[in-house]
Amino acid sequence: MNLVKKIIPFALIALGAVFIIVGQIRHEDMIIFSKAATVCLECIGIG
Amino acid sequence: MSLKTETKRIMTQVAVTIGSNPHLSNFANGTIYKGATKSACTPGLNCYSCPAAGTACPIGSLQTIAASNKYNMSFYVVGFLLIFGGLIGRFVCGFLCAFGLLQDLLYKIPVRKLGIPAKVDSALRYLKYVILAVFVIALPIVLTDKYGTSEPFFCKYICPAGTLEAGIPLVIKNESLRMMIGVLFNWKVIFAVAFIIASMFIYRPFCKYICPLGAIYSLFNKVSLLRMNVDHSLCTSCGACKKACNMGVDVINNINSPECIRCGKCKTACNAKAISWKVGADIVLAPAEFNHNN
Repeated sequence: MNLVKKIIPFALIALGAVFIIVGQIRHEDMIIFSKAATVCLECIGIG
Repeated sequence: MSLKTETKRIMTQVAVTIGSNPHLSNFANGTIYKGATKSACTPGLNCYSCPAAGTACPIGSLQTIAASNKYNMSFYVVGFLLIFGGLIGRFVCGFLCAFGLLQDLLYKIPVRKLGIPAKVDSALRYLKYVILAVFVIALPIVLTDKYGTSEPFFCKYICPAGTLEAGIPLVIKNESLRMMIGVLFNWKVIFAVAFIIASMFIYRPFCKYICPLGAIYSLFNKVSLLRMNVDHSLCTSCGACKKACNMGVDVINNINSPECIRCGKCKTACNAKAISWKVGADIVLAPAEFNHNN
């Protein structure tokens, strides 16, 4: 049980790295880039 | 002479704020940065429509994917959150968030501070989880138009970071945006001003009650690689740590509380040197568990 607890933070970090790669394969980074590289009218309270 | 811990923290916050917002000249131009780094998420809340922003806000990015007609959940953004959370938990809030810095500075304004009644305070602490579930996750997925797209509801109706970092600077410099101002902009400015005033009287009201990013990182506080630790053999139970904590954490009994932003004020206040940072993979037990297991 203690070993499982010790592994948790490393497992989370490794899972995070895998998720980022999966996200890039799905081109999520491009969707985010297209939003972030233009003025987000909702974010600034216009649209 | 070494710098005080609090001064070091403020300096770190300023450095991170400038580091994630390096394109300051865009404020004068009324434009935003459009480089490739805009696809990477910053650890803290930092509007990607801020003229100086060099990275993307994780909460804005989560909603962008959820509001798109391609996916409901973003592996990419959750990946960043797992890494930041797994490494340092809400240390992000205490040291790496530009909006946290703003609130820290506002609280330094010498006005009489307000105490929130304990019951009201503890009930309001759950509000940030409700905002995360409803405005960041559920509404962008559920309320879609005929094309299957939706809106970033938290950014649109709540987030004062967008108003202060992006909305007001861009509207000042762009006549075309000024022509489009309506009820929504007025609401967001009123909310942002109310938040600024509240931050002078209450310590980090946005982090305590509203921030969905803080809500996410709070889930990692007990399991992250970096944690706080109390050495109970040194603790004299003087209560100085609890008194020093502006986030209202019961430091001795629950130092890695979801509400702890790891500012380190408890560590500085402890004359017995019983509080320390801990970088390790084992879970720190609360005193009740500690006594039970020993």
